[in-house]
Amino acid sequence: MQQKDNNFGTEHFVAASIVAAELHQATRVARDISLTAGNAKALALRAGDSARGFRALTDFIDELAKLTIKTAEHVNKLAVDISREAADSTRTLHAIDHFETAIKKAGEAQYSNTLTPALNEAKQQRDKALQAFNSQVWKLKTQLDDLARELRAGLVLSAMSRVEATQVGEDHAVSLQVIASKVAEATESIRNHIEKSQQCFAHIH
Amino acid sequence: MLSKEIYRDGRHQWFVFGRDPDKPDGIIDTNQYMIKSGDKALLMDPGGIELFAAMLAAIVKHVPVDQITHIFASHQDPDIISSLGLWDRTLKGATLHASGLWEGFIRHFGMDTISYDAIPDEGSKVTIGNTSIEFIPAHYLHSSANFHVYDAEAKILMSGDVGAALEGPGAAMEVEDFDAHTAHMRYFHQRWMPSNKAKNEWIESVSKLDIELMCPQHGRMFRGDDVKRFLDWFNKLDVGIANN
Repeated sequence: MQQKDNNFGTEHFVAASIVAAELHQATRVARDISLTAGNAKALALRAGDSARGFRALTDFIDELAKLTIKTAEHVNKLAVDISREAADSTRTLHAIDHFETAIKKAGEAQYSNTLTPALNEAKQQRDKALQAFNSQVWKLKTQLDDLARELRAGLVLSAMSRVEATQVGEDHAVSLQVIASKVAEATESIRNHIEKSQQCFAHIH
Repeated sequence: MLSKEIYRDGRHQWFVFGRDPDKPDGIIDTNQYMIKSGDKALLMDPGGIELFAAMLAAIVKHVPVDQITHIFASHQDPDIISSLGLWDRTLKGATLHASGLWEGFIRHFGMDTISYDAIPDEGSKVTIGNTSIEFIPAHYLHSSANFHVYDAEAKILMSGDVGAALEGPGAAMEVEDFDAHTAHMRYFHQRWMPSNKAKNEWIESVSKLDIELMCPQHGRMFRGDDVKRFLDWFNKLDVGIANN
């Protein structure tokens, strides 16, 4: 139990910070997608009727980017909260160690029993913090899973964009194909960041 | 850790704690002091995080931990008060007395339950149980806002870093040969204290006090005539040598 507690303290606030950093990167990429979607919409409009299918997809791409940004920002805040929670718990575990050492050192000292309340309270704080931490991590994992699902839809959309781009007249086909590739690359990049984030807490639960 | 009663009368007691044999290598040896009066106790310069468990174990030989109602920090350094976050989890309703100038800094050690009594630059008084003590200004010796504790009844001055000495492990708690002891004090005072003016003002103020025992935060305590010897020696010492 002690070893598990120590791992909790030392590993998880770092893991949460890594998730926060990964999602920060994901947000930047999502902002790029949003811009790309804007360009795609303008191009598709210029391309006329032949790009109607592509135009419809740009709305989905834009929505996906916005959702990624919103979710990533939310998850990012959650990750920061988790990191803080884990750091607080580490301090509590540290205090428990000190109290236990003091009780051991105090031995038969006249008032050694007066140390017990502080130890018990610290242990209660630790249990409470562990519960809060687990609940926060569960929320974070759920959000990451949701985002990963949306991104799988994004990959389908980018594949469809490529197909639609080939249906457009020669003047715009190349540009729209470039946009479709950009969306595919960005979606893949976000997926990587999310996957790394998921791995950080994969061993919990 | 050594813990010893150094004064007792019908109303209160003084204790010193120090020379912890389990102290990790590389951290400076420190003395901690405690006044117990009635069902209240004041812990002075309780020390660093690494010393906390040993201090707690030593204290409960003398008082129940819930009777530590007051803590004093002479200044903001980690060897003085970095254990604050742990004391904060141990004591309920205690008060920390320290310079108002350092409040925003000291709180970084972690403080949720202990309340902060900001000592004004000119000093103040506080009652611990049945005893009244005084926080005496010792600014720039060596911190820019710094206080010592004077107990007129016991004739004891807790003098923070003034009178400090750096010695190897296991040194005695009291000065035995003052002249020999100056070798352990010289560099500490010259380098960690920046101002001759501040030093002279402190000597002038402290010379007016009736002191039987002077208790620094590092090194050995000075008793009787050695207090006067220390003030004379300090008076002649040029401090702030980094800029000389």
